Amino acid sequence: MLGVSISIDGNRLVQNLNLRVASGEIVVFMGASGSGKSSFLSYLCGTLPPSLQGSGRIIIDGDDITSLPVHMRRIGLLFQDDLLFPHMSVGENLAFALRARTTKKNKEAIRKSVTLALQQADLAGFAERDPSSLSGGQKARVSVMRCLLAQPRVLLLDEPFSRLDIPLRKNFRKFVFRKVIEQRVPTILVTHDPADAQASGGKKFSMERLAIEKLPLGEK
Amino acid sequence: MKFAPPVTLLLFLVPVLCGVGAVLLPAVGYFPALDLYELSFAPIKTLLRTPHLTSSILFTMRSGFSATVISCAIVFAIFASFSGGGVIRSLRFMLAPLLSVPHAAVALGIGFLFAPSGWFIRIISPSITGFSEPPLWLINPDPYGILYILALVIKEVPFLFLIALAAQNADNSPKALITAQGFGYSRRAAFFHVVLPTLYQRMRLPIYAVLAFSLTNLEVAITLAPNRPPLFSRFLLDLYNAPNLIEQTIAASAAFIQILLVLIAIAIWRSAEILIHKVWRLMLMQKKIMQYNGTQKNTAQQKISSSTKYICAKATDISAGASGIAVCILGVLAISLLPIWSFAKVWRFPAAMPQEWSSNLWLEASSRILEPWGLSLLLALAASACALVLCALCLEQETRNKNNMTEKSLDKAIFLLYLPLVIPQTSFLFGIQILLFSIAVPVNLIILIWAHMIFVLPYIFISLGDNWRELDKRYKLTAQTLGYSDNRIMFRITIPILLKPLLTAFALGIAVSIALYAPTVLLGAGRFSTITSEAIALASGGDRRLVGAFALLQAITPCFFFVLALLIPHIVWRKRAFMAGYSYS
Repeated sequence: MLGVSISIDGNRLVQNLNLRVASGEIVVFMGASGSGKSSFLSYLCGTLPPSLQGSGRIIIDGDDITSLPVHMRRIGLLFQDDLLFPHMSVGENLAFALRARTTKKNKEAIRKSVTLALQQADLAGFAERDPSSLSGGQKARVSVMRCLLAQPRVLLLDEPFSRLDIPLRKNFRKFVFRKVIEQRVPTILVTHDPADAQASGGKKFSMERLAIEKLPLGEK
Repeated sequence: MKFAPPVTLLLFLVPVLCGVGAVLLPAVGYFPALDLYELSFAPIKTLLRTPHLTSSILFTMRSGFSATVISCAIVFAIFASFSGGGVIRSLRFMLAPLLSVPHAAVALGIGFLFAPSGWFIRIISPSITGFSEPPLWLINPDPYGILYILALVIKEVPFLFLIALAAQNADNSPKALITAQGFGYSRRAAFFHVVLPTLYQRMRLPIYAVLAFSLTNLEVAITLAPNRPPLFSRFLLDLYNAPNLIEQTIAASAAFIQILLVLIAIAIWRSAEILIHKVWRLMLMQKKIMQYNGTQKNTAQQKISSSTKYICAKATDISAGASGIAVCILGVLAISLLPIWSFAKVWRFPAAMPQEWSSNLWLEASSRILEPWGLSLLLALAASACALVLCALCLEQETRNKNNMTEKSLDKAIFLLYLPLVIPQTSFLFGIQILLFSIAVPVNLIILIWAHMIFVLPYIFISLGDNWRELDKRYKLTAQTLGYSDNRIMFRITIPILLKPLLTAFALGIAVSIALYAPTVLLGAGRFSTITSEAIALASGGDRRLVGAFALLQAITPCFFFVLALLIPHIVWRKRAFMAGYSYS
């Protein structure tokens, strides 16, 4: 990221942020609600509302994606809700992620990747299940797998743990972080929970600081 | 996709506005098709000399306002008494089916109930009345138009009730109601203080539409209203059907007066709104000042007033509930007479039930029935399908552009949607007819479908709009980040998830189109007949069994599509628990 700034009506939310996130690294942005976390993520996604002004370049593996539409950016996004498509089975939800970019992938290959993904999420045999019959933790894991199957080049996590209760949250957090490292995806986690930040073991920024400070380029 | 909103507006508003324009010019004497080019007030002057004009206008205003005021009063009383309770839910189940039944069918059924030889007289004859033959009240049986008002109330109460229910859910007012009750307000007081103001805001345009319809509709007016004085819409239709072409200019000026009439009625209604609001505020201030000055009534007086209050509250509860139930019962009775008549063979007065039954009518008249039914279905399916596609594309475009649109422009769009519901149908359709006549284009099926679509579209848009906008935007965002373009998302995510609301909106469109009378009659000029136009044409003096058959088809055809709209999502999504329960409407 080069010189990213976001402001609303002249009030700076993010001031000239320069940041590099390495593969498999998790960078954490902390902040209370209203501190601009969501705006920051939507700028990265390319869905910043016009009431906000954003500037700065976003570069992934040397490609400048700043002006690309959302669906071309190859950014993975996880919310606090699982957002599994309610009209598709668990398996269809996962296959949906695989069918997006590949035009002629054969059915067998898709089925295999779906089965593998379910195994990795401890959900073997769940392909035909209705998402609404799954527990909260199971849905959350399917959601992560769906996101990763699309092979995103950057992963954005928007408070993905805050809906789960504490014991579940710990396990799920571990699961997500393990996946991130396995797949070597650069990851940005946005949260208000210090425990999340602690567990990530990554670099931490507070949104309040971002609003005033200028962070040096090339910080790793 | 970008072109969807302008194209829709073009297809939808231009005919309405052209129709109004085309009716205004002949009204002031400019009618190129008849070689009349000079502005003159002769048509209006001739019109003003017509006998019964004033009494017709007054009668129209009186019955139109009565129907609207009564309908509103019943709906608001029901909500004031039972908001957030189970009564509302059970009333919803009883009233919702009535909404799908066309005005004409209800009006014909009411006729069967209350006519001199109708069912009510039959059940009390000869035991109470002593009548062994129908009484001869045929000459002006109902000078006050009570049946006309009754039929409208039976149809408008379900409409306003469901609109209010949707508005209430959108405003989250059940929660506001509980909060206010927590502050110590009674349920009724809480309703008037925190719910009604926002509820009314959302209901204003539908109420105007009801008012305009009550003032200008043809179907109920022809079936139930007395002939002398005629309701203005009927007066207009008679002029319109006059053989002399010159009379068309007089008809045009009558259409112009009808538009004025509706505008004046809405202005009166709006002034009443403002007045009531002001008085209400003043009363609240007065109360506060009294409290502040300590001029409270003494405890004895308070006790009396609180017990009177209690009795009043109970009384309004009971009357609100009773009127709601009465609307349901009358509606159901009226409609159930339709099949009875269509299967009656011998039904002499004063028997309460037919002596002999037969299905001969359906077999013998099948050719007479099938053709109009086919046209009704064709018009309904084509008009609803076009309107549904246009609405879906507009809503999709709106959600894509959501961020660029301000709330204000959306409000304006809503106002435009109600335009064809507020501008008198007869008037602008007459204008379109004049226009087509001027450019020598005969009315064909496409124009008729188009005309139906104009009336269907607002209902589909309103019904679909909330569901489309309420769909969690993050579904779309998720699919986008997975690499899907907007168009693919629309087909793979949005439409499947919204299947039920889409089908419900489609069924609503069918119901609206089946019920339409004015476009078929005014534009079709007798060359096209639907089950609605046939039923009404036969209403006066025709074979009651045939009328019953047509009206029955009118009532059950929309129901059939509503049932499909409920069943199809259940079957398609039978394995998806969330989808089965996925219903906003």
